[in-house]
Amino acid sequence: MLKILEKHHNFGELFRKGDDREALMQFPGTVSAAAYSRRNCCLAAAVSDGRVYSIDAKGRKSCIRESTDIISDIAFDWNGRLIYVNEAKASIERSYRDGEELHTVVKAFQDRGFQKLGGISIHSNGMIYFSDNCKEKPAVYFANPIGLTASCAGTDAVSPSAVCCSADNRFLYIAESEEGMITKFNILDDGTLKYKRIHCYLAPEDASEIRGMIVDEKDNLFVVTDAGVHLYDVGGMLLGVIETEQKCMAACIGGRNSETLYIFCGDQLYTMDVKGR
Amino acid sequence: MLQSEIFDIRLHDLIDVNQNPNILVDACEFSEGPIWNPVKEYLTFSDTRRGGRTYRWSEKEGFSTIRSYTNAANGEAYDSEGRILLCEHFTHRVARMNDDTTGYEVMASHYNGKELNSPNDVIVKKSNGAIYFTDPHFGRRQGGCGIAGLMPQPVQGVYRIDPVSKETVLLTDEVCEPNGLAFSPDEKTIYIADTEMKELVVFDVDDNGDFYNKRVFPKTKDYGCDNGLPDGLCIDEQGNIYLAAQGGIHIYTKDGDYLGIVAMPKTVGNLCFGGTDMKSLFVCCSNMLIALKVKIAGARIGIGC
Repeated sequence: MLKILEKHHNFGELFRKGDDREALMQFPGTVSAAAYSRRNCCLAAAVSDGRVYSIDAKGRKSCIRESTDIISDIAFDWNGRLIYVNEAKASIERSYRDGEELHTVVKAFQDRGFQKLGGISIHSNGMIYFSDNCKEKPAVYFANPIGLTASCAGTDAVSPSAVCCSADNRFLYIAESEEGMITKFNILDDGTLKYKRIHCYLAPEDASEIRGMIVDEKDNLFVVTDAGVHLYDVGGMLLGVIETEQKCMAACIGGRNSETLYIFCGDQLYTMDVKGR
Repeated sequence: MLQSEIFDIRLHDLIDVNQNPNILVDACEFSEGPIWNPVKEYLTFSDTRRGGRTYRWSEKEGFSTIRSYTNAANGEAYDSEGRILLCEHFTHRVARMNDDTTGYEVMASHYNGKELNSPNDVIVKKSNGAIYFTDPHFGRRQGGCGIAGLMPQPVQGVYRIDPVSKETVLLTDEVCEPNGLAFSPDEKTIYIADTEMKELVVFDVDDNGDFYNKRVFPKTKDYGCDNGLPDGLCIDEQGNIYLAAQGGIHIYTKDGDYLGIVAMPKTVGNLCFGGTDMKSLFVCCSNMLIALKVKIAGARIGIGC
């Protein structure tokens, strides 16, 4: 069951109060990543059974890929291709069609292989932003999906995990789990990052691994942690928390009018109606 | 020994102009936002450069950095519960945190659906906890310590935040470039430094906390080798006003009589009273923190009141 904790009255502009929900469906394993397709289906990558599932608008579930490696994040690029963060191979991969073989986009920067890839976010110019929280040189990179090259976007983030472009693609939010905070950078024209500032801190009791971030069209930021989904407004103010009983692993916004929030916790899927998009 | 320019002999009743300034810290880049904790007897202040830092100084413990990456926080204030309000240049918002830097939360970032310009200085009304802040454009200037860009708000205003609901209200847009601000000891008057006009703007404050009856004190005179401009200010318990401005500290009586200027070696950004007897004046002077002794104790504000 989901439990909604309202922290600011503006939370009511997005969700109904006291809207406890029951699970919509169950998966054979824990879901680690999710994304919504322009074909109006939600994709869920499940860790323990190595499969990727598609959930259509009617709530029907089907397996579209089997025997995947451990996937830490997925996203659709602007051509509708699914981009994977392959945690096991420490590479960014993509598929052209459901079930087809995966192709490596990038797996190294300046001949040094990535080590601990975290989240992924697609910029409107097609660049794929992702983080590598390796011990030696944690950094955020962007990959050119055409030339299949990686560039370093910035090294100011101390412990980057999830990343997320803002709704207008001018900024990049970076989760720094070890610091328990979300930082915000300007994305410059050359793709690099500048002007680090702290967008918000998680409460100490919630400062677990930040597993994902998404924004709506007003740049409200949905932050996925073990405890649930934390919602911050565009100014970094905490509006509320959607607490989950099991460990929350992923979330995405979808539906025909982008008015549904999909929340994956443990092996369960919940959905909530979102006002606005 | 201090240099000074005396316009009125009543200045001698407030400060010994023959004292030597005591340089406590000289390791900052540009110090700002000093606030005194009378319970724990330490000073907290900010550095608006290097991405922003929060420093602490006490007689016993000396100088230390308690927080880095502060979003280039500038003005600060204690509320009655001992939490610190801070104005952030990088994010253009007002935030609040506990005195030990935990419990960070955003208090105001937008007004009328648009980002604030660049909150600069903040005070708390001790009678009801309301938060007042100025919103000039400094944090958006090219080459400044914030992030350059256009001013989102149509005015450079002074605002009030409800500390519980976080509702933000514009109180006035009649100050050209509002910067530092302070209440009189009885909180029935507010003084706001107008940087562009080089003057102090004064309003009466009604029971709702709104402003009325605007008037202006005499313009600050240019003085000393370093220009500076009207910036932070503080008030003693008799209501005299100590304003950081051109060349040093400009002192006015509560009625607007211009008593004189106490020179400082570099640009002064802000200042506050502190010490066990509240008779130390802590001055943020570019890369330095300087202490002066004064004869009238500072008005007690924020924590411990």
